[in-house]
Amino acid sequence: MNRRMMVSISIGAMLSAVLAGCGASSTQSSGSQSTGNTVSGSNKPVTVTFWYGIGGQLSQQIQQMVQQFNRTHPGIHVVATYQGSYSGGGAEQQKLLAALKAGDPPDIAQIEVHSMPLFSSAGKLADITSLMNQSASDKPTDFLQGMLASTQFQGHYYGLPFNRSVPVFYYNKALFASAGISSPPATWTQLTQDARQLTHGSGTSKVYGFEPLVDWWPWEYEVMSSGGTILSSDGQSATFGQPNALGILEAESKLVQSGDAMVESGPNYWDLMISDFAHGKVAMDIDSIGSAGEIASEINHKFQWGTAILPTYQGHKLAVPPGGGDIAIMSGIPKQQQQAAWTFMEWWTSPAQDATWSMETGYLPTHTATVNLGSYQSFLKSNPQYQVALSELKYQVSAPASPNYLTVVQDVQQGLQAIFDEGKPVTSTMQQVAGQVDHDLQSMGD
Amino acid sequence: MIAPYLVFVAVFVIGPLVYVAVLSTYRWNLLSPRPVEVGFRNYVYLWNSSVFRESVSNSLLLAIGMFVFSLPLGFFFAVLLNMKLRGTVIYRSILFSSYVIPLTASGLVFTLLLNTHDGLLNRVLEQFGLQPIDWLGSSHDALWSVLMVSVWQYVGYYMLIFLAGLQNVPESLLDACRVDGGSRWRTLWHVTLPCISPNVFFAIVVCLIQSFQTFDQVYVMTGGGPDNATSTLTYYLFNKGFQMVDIGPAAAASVVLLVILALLSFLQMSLGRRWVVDEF
Repeated sequence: MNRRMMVSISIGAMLSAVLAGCGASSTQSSGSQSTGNTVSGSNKPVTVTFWYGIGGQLSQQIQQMVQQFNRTHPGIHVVATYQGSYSGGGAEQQKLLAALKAGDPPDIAQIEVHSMPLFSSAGKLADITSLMNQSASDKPTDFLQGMLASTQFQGHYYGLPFNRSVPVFYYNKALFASAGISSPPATWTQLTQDARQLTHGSGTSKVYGFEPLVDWWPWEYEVMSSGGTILSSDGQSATFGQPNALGILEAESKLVQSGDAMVESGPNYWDLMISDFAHGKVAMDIDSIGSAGEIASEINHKFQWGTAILPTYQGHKLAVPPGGGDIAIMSGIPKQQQQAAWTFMEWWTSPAQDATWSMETGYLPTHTATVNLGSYQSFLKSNPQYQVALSELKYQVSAPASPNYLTVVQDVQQGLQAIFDEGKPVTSTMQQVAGQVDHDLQSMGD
Repeated sequence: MIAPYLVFVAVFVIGPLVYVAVLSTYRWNLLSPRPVEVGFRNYVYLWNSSVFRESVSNSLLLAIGMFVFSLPLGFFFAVLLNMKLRGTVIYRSILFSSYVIPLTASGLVFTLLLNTHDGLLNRVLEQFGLQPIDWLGSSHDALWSVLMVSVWQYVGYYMLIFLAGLQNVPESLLDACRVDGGSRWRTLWHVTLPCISPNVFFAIVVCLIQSFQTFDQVYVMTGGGPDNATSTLTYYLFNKGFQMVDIGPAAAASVVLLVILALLSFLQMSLGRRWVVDEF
């Protein structure tokens, strides 16, 4: 069974990478083991091993850029290896846990933003605060506002933003026009009204005004922008079941109940939502800016669409959860290796590479200097949907920096399914999940 | 000669088994340098956890479902195939082919077939004027969908086990029964079944163990959802250990699984002695 399980896990991860909008994948270099540093005196390059977890075209983009780095930096040789999905609990993360436990980790790794506290609190990531402060291009002030929200733990920096995204609001301009609505909603009151106005038809040809994504990532926005918090400030108890955390969830649930919003369920819910939007079945949804490329190619100019800043709720301040991954150096690797790894990371985040990476992949640029580049500005002109994501950055609020956060989101995911897939009431369900989380956190300690 | 095997078992079976038992008395996220020793508190945690209880009952329901549906169905097909009709080779291959397909692959295909809005199955239902069913998204139906796929997946395997038995039933016994005026049903019940009882026994043991190990279908089709409606014991311990990185309760859950399977096997072995005819 164990073998089957592992096979299925890796196949599952591979398939999910394919489903996430990618083609064939990835060059794998075998034996990516860190071989230590060079023998002193010889001029062999320092080998830096780099694990990442995005497949398909994204993987090819990484490999290309790594090759470019290796060509231009003869003293360093970066070996980048695709290890399966980097998502929380994905294959790359499982392998990283195992490698750290076995004492043979890679030198650098991509880490999902919500998993950063798990690794940094256990002392597994190198503190790069002083490296950043001394850096010519990676000083904390060089980054776009909000971009470092997920890379800090207890006042120190443990990573640089790598493939980052934020959720944004998507709307179908054609459906808006035929319903006589001129602009995307800025508030949930407006969104609710618009959703009712946009819903029409019946049976298989019914068009729904809105589709909530049954996922814990947009849920972070829903809690924090309703005026609530996810965990108490000490990270020991759940606060997301309190009334001030449930406003947006409640509004979404009402739309579903009144038939003005639809939901997708099952494991492919995310891809199905993208497909619903691209086929004009729903007029509005909330999705990652990272999906913009896939959405554009699925719609293929059949209708006009756009993005907008996430709507606010009853005058509360907008809070946008960061998504995607950061890149971190493992602690305890030899000094020479660490230096080489840092050189690579500085190179990767410098404006030229930062711009290439974000224009090729749809992930967000990380540096202010990148956004000011002429090439990036003209990219924004032809792809205005990314402008929205950039203007959301300053509202980024990171999820609680708790090493046990992965437990929280798994529990929440089940609660969201109870609300949207089964139509259970919002308040009692979320209170129940909060109780479950309390129970889990207390017995976990830290 | 047996040494390499023993080494293998010690390193990959006994070792991990002991380690899991030890881990189940700790609270640990795999990374922190100081795991907290908690004694049997992880077991208490499981006892009080509604999610765990739901996972156990889901596993039980799946096992009962597989026992009730896939074994008789497999036997039915085996009897049909044993009638030496034309084309049995083709039917045999078709029936067995589902077992050869990796569960992850068939799970994905079924996920598409069972999709609420665009899935083939609901389209067919609509043609007959029936309401579409939320196969994977409703807590009512999702476990049935998982069971359905499991039955589809394994029925060919059980069929083959039964068929192997049926083909070994001595023709002379069947003839004797027929000559004595036994009906088809009597022949089946009093001659055929006792003759293939070792196969039936094997099929039951394998069926129950396999059901308790249900993982792939759940991982691919539902991710344990909605709201834990399809979480099985194996999925629970995977989710707890590797998605929540909460290794203590996960290890405790594996120990519980081990105990359940050991008990089941023991029960079957001791009950099996009463009705399994080894020689005929």
